[in-house]
Amino acid sequence: MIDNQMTWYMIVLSALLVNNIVLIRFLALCSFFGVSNRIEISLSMGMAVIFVMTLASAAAWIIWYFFLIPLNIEFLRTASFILVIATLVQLVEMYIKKTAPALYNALGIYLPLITTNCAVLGIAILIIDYRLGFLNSLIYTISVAAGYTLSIILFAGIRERIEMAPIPDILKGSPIIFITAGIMSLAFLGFAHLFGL
Amino acid sequence: MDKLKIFTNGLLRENPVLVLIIGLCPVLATGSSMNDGFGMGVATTFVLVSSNLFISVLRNYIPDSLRLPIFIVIISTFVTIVDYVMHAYMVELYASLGIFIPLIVVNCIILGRAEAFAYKNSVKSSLIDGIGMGAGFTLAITALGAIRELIGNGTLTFFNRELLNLSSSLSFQPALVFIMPPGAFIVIGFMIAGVRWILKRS
Amino acid sequence: MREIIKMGIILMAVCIVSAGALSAVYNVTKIKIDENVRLSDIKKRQEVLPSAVNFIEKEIKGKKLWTGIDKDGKEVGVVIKVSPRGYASPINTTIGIGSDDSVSSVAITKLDQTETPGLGVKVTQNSFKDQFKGKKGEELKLKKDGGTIDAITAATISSRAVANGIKEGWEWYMEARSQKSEVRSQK
Repeated sequence: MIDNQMTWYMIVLSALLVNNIVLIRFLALCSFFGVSNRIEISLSMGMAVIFVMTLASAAAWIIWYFFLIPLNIEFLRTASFILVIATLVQLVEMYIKKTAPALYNALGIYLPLITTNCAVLGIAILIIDYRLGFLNSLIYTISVAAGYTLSIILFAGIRERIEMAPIPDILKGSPIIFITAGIMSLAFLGFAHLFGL
Repeated sequence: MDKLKIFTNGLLRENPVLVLIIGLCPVLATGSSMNDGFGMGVATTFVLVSSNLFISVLRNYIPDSLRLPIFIVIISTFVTIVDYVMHAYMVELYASLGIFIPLIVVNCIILGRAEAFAYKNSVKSSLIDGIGMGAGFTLAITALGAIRELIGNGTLTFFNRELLNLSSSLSFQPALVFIMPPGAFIVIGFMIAGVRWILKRS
Repeated sequence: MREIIKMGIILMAVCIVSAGALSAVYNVTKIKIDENVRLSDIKKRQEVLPSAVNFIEKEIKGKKLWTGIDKDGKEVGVVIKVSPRGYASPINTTIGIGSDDSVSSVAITKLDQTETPGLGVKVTQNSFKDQFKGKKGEELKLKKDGGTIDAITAATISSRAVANGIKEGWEWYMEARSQKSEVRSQK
């Protein structure tokens, strides 16, 4: 778990490896399996997730501590967070389309996918549940997203090889991908207990 | 399409988890015991049926360009209701499902059915579609939970009652890895392969 | 432009209806949720100090503790609460300390933690919790750390968190009490 008493590098290590968001916490699986065909695509997706997740967490933190808590309407948490994330993704998409077409070409098609990426909402809720301060929330979010990027790139590398391997017909496609992810998750489980995290 | 076919579609032929392979995060995360898996399945089914029902009732009044934000508001309303009702009346289940209850809102199955089915079909069909898809989801997550619990813990619990305990009767040594994260990926991989094999034979 | 205003009004109406429904549900369930927490706290206090029939709430150095009184009006021990950091989140542990200064019992329900299902969750089982009964000081540590408590297989983090939390809570109470008696004797 993460809390305000931890030093920043402990938060980073915990989020990146020990509690890897995809392989240990089971968030963001749709995009993890969906776009991990090739390493370059995975890298772009990872960058898009880092970018949106950081913005979304910052926005969620501000909404929670400056609107929902003072107004006593905590029960609108889920609804307001998901609406803010959806709006944010739209705004970001329009903004980079105008100002940075090159970036848009690289990230553009992945942005809409991120709205339904449960990791973005999940992390926004977790930073509230863990009662993290603003700076710690940002550090945590960026490390979680970096953990996502790390695992999706590693996974894409393995998948590129699986495509050439002789696999029984019945396991081709998603079954073998899941089993591979299981073995990768087993490897990440090796980080458990690292530095007592 | 006749009603029975809509219902059985979600159960096997278009099972959201095992055939369409969507909405996996809660399945893998909470399907670590039969009890939790079933609870998560029922919670998701409730949201799915209610949102399908509401959206198909209101479908003629929802402007096309506003449909996604309105779907999201409707779905998140039901998710929050489930969240609070479970917290008040099913405290133990609430504690073990944790963050995955609010995350029902981003379950692709629910938004997917709203967009692909409820927005275009009659109230009755949408209702049956919601129940069928929900049942398919619940079936998959409960089966995954049961398999993992049996191999990884040697027990089967349902409605908080222990149905089976291999460890005490057969001195069975549970393979812990199956209730840990890797087990979820490996079991679901073989389950998808198994369903494929069944569909291919029939 | 008119179109945009119309859309805005529709979206606003949907949001207002939804917020209204949620606030109604929230108000109804909030009472029940608070009541559940209150009842379970009482039950846990009775569980860890079974001989007490009444509890008096006190505050020492910013921490709450409950003194247990038996049916003859005698003090039989205290109940304290600690929340050590577990694998997934804090594990809220209720500890009873008897009049012989040893731990009388420990209560952790499924709701007090969110540890890994099937693994860390086992800290809520009696086979783990009962190990603390009648122990004090260094005995409250895990065997691996030089104490007497068996850790749960594949859940060392959760086990160690609970054991160290109980030991720290016990030490805190012993220190707080000795300071209090010093103050008393000075008077």
